[in-house]
Amino acid sequence: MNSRASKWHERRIRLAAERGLHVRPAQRLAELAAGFDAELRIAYGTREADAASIMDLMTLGAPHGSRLTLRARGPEAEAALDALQELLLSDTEPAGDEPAADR
Amino acid sequence: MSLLLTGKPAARGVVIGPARIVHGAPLEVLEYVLPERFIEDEVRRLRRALAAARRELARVKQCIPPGTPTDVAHFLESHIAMLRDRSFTRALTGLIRERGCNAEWALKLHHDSLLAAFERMEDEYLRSRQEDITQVVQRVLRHLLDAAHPAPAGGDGKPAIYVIAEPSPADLVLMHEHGLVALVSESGSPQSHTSILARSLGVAAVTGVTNARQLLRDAETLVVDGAAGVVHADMAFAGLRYYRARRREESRRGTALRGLLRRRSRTRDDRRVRLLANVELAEDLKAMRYHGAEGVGLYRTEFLYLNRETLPDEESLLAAYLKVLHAAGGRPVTIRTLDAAPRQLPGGGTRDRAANPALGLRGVRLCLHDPALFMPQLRALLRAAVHGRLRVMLPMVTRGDDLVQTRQLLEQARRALRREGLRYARQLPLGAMIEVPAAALAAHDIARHADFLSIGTNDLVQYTLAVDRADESVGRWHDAAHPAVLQLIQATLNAGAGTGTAVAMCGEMAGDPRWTRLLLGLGLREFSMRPASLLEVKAEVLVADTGRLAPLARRLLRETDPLKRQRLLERLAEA
Repeated sequence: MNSRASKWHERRIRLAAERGLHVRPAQRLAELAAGFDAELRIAYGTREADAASIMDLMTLGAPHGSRLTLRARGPEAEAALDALQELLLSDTEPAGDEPAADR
Repeated sequence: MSLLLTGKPAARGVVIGPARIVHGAPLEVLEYVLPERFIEDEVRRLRRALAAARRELARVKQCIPPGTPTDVAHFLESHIAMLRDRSFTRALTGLIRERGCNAEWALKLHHDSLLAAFERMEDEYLRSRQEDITQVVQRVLRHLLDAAHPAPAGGDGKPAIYVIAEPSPADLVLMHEHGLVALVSESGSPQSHTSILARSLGVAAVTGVTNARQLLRDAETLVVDGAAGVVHADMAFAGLRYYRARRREESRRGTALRGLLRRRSRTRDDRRVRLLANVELAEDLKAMRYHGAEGVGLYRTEFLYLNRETLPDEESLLAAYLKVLHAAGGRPVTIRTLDAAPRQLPGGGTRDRAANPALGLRGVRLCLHDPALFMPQLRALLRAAVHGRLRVMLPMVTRGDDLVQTRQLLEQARRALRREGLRYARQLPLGAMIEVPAAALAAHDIARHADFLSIGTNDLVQYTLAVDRADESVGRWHDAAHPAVLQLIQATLNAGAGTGTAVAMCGEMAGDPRWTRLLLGLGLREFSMRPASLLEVKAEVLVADTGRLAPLARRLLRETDPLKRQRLLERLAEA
């Protein structure tokens, strides 16, 4: 790691997703995280995940309302944290899980 | 000695063929220690299997017919993302290199450690998602163990009736490619993704056939009757002959149906009946022309809002609307404004704290509540209407005032467009969906403010009977022809007739040929449906005599005795 990447930025949030960080929210989060020039980690309890990895995120087992710590370093660390925070604070259940009207 | 197994009808069709019993035994994995020089080959073998599994799912996604609900595709996308996950790949290659083991064993070890993490989870739903991990791991294993034949259930490409515990939608598509002609499953409901997909693929399917794999023998001849939900084995010659005749009749019927394409849609007593298509995706537009629809009776716009970070702007909505108008080639098009709840919209989650979304801020309520959501739609609709025969339909209307308010916003939009010097339609027919009991009972008031009404039977049945149609446990209370539902349909048709307002129907019921005569008898003259149902419904229309159907249909409105209702329905079918 070079010096510019050495400083970790940190945020603490509560997870909004109604059914927790399951497959779809984890996928959306990982896709978002992969788009930034930053190293991104998400911690829940004693476990920590690579935010760009759907598998890692799923194995956190973070339920609705859990306290998460977001850590980032790299050129886009702050922007990445803003984006991740926004996604995690919105209830990002995928549309289509509910029966849509008149299918 | 004949054996008859009964299940639930999941997809129609009569199929006679050999059984293939799929036991789905767990794939056996052994550990090998590899010489140093083979380790990088093994890493490459793993990467090839991961890539092949990804390609397989991507291909499955391509095979999903249009009109299949979006969560089937979402589920595949998630599995593709897991197969592409770099920390998953890194963990596996790490194990191969550190332990010098084969790829299968690395996969097994990593799977075990992932499952251990899931087992520690307190949240029951999250814990249950280990199923996704297992399905992904099994898929990679299949590609590693038998790269030549990675089909989920073997299969040699010869036509066979697959008898299986419960296939996933992805596996159904793969088995279909490997010769599946009909599906018999032990569990699962007719409303499951797999059943929906079977119908889209045109594969006969019976679900919920308990112990089918024990009761049926591999390679024996089975008869599957998808519409009846039954499976015959050991059938006597006479029985087989009967089903062969039925099968021939079905295929003749398919050919005969194509012959109806150019026939004008009129009943035997010369009543004009309009048959339109429900459309969502570009493929539906093609299908609509192929099956001879007279126009689009329902264009759903929800998908324009899915999988995005921001709301679509006016220009992109306009482009989407124009595409449909163009494809319709001068035929009328009814566009439904956004029918969604806040949580289904980009960035909309925080606004949505509804305890009961089905009764919450959705459909036209959400649009009226949030002009930033509604205005771009109304402006784009006014602009699109210059280029074709466009009507606009509002979902989830419960009172005339919903239309009055929308008209005010339309007027506001027109003034703004005029100031900006953009072209817009002075006339834009505005209609209401009748999909909650209140709307049907207040149809007179709504019709006074509407240019047309369209009955959405899926929600109307759900809200009237308080039965979620996706909930298997209340399946036997779900009855589209319940007298209460029929009375609401009748009330809507009466309100239309009394006020001179056209009434259409765009729910599942409109596209189900079993109900065509009943609806004609009640007075319905405009049906909008999945394009694939158009010719079947037309076949019913052409032989119907509304004068004879009307008195029978009216009697069904009041008849509650199940036996008498059955008898009336039979008489309707013969009238």
